[in-house]
Amino acid sequence: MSGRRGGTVLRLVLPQLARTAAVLLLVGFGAAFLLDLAPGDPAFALLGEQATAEQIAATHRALHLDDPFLTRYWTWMSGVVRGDFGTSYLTGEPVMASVAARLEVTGELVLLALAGALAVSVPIGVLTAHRADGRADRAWSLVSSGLIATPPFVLALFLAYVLALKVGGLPATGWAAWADGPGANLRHAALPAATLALALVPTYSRMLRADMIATLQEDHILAARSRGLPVRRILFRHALRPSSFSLVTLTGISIGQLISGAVVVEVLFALPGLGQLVVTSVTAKDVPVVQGVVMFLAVVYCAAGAVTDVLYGCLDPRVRVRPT
Amino acid sequence: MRARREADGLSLWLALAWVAVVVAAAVLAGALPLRSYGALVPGVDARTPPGWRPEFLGTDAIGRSVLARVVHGARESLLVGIGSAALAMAAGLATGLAAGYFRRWVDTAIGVVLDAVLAVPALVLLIAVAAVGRRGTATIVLGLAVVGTPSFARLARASTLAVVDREYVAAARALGTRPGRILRRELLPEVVLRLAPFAFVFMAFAVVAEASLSFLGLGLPPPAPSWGGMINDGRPYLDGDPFLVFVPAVCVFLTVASFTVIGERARRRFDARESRLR
Amino acid sequence: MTTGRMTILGPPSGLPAPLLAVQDVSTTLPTAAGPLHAVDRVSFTLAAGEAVGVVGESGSGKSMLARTVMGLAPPAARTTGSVRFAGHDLLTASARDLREVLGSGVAMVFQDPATALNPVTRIGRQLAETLRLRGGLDRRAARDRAVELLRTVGIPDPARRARSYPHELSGGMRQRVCIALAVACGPRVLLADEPTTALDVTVQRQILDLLADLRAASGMGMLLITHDLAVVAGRTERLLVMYAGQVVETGPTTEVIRAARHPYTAALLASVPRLEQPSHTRLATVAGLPATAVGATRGCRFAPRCPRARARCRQEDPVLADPRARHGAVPGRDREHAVACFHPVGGGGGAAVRDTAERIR
Repeated sequence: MSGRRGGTVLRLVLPQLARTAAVLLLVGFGAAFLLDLAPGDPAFALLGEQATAEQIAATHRALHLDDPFLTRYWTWMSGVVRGDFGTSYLTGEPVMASVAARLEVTGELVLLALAGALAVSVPIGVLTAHRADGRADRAWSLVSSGLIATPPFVLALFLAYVLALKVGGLPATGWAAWADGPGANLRHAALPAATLALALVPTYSRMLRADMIATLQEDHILAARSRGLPVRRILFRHALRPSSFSLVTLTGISIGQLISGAVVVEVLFALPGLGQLVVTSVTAKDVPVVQGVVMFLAVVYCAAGAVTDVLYGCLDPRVRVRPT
Repeated sequence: MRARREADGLSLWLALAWVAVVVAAAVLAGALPLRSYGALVPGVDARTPPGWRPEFLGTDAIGRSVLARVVHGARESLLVGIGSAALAMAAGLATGLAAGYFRRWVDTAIGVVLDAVLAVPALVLLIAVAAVGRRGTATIVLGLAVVGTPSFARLARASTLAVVDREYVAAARALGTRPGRILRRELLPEVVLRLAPFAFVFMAFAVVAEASLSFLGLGLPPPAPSWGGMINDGRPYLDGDPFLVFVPAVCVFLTVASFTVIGERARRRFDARESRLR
Repeated sequence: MTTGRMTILGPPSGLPAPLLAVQDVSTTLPTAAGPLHAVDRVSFTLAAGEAVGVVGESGSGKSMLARTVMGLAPPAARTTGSVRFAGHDLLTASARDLREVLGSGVAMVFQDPATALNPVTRIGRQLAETLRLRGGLDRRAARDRAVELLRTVGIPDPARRARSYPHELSGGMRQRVCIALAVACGPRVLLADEPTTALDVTVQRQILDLLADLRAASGMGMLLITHDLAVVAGRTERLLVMYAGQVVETGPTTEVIRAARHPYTAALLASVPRLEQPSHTRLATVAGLPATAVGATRGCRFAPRCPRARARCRQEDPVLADPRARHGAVPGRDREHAVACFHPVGGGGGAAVRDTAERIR
């Protein structure tokens, strides 16, 4: 029986896997192709402007820069499949090592922002749905419209201005690793993570509100009330879960938005994260690093989609694959 | 309930008014009696705060007229917004219609390509395009069009799927009308109508993205003014002269909010029309 | 007093004191076309162990009456009158007092068991939750009691079934679970709102029998709401016939069916299929569309569809009164046959329902 169940799962998962592989191949190709078009020679970036013709030729040979484009893409891609993302032109470090080093910062920011955004949006979404068109609902509708219209970097500047400069207590720039002490780490992460989270809260809370309002009209909510269950329990235990499917999808999709936000926030707050790595390596034409980071982000995006699917199954027993 | 409807109406009028102001500023920037956006204001110190005199919106860190730069910046923002929305909508229409009409492998292939674009965070993609191309409006417009195409395409595909089974399309198919003609005559008008509201929402996104790019120093080369660039330039003086950041930031905020309001209203209006039809 | 609607006086001697006393209850909903009088000055009482039927077409306000009695009218609705239960007025009770009464005092079974259960929670958990929060049981006791309740309502293999999700059960099973949820905390009054409408005909009878058994075992009062006269015939002691939010006829079930006085009740009775008719006989229907009372109305609401309507019916509001007592001289006494009509019909026409009722039993 478990074998048959495994069979169904495979039949469901295999096309999805094939599609994901195609997407990733395409992303790698696109990144390589785009950077190949870029003007400038990475050898100069590596050797400096005074490099001799021989030095440059030697570098080209070492980096396979004279090979045709497709050959280089093939070499790179076959490396990627084996887990080798190449080495940075600039630092000579393995790409994965610098990605891993930067990931600590960006990963923490993204996870903190996601957790914070959900922690704020879920109660807001539930309560504005509970008292839809009430005073709080209308006030929040106004505030969230304002937040939606505020670009993340303006929000970051505003927060930095108010919380770091005026109120004080939070550092406006720089980073402290977890190893330097959790307190210092969280204090440095607070402002950038809050910026990222605030950009998500309006869409999250609105999405949840709309779905909650629909759920609260349903019979099983009325039935729960007719049994005298407490309002809070009905809202958070009975109505929230069937209302959260769209929010889960949105959360999965917003990984991309978060990374985009992280690019801006990391530059603004001078944080050594992936976003900053992207900006510096793109401007320096450090092709392997850009390819590596883009590839990594694409994998994260696809993984987020898969996690969303699994979460769906956890949230809604009706979509679970069950042996019957 | 009525108060709410009135507030909605008011916000739409305010949004339209602000967009009109921005459009006027963008179109007439050269003709208005403004100072040059690149030259220093004679006889006025740098970072003079706003006021009727000597300079309406003050001067920037170098001593240039903030008013002139904001007005000329409107041109950049609007050009990028409209240009990228138009391009992305055209590309999205073509791919979305094809995917929705032909389905099967065309749908799959287009879906994979669109997924690949979506898999790369928008700003990362934009930075890459900006770094590759020549610095300028055209590159930014192109980059944003690439970023926006998947969203338009998905919408167009969904709309096509919704329309393609209606009787008049089925009738045209049964009569042996060529696909190209059906797509152009029957599907395109309907799908465009459904996409139009989203174009405004996308313009709002494009304005923010352009400002972000300028903010990262990957926008227009100086001294050309753009709102994002002005915010970045004003950043070091946030404490003493916040107006340097505030003025362009308010422009971005109002423009984005206006586009969002217009898009939202257009969508709701369209939905209402739909529901009455059915 | 003589022109007023029914008033609840003290219970007639020899009858049990009412558990639930609904007096002059109105529910008005705002609509685009004006205020909708979904429930209009309805009064009745319900004693322990008693079953009262409410019959009317869809849109006649039966379900809204049930929601109002539960104190669960939609937030936009305006309610007046009083619903007295155990010393509380459920219409004006604080949210806290109301919660104390709901479930353990007054409970409700809904029409569609497919939507009345939380789709993402196992049924055992839903039962245990109610038992824990409202019945005061601890986790373990609640779990055991949930299985026991499932057994009581006739779910086979209850321990295993407790781990099912609602979508894994049949419609009849789901309605049994809904009934288990409703009676979990031992309510004294059960409102059953079209409990069999969404079910197969074969299952309908089982569910009605289950409700009757539970009532007999616990002595709770039951309000059985339905559009189907055959459901209430033989299963209820008294009957309320509702039209456009108003009670147009009330009385002992057998008497109302035997000698219906209101033209609407008569038309409902005529539309029930009869056994002795040859098959393919065209069934009588109530002509016209069901009315809803929007805005200010004058005259009898059934008048537009009524074959007996005359000028007075369109001018004056008929009042619920014993048709035999001229000028409505006997107000109240909701146990007696009363009709709100100026030109009541002679009676008869109940044979069909008795037949149908027999068939269902």
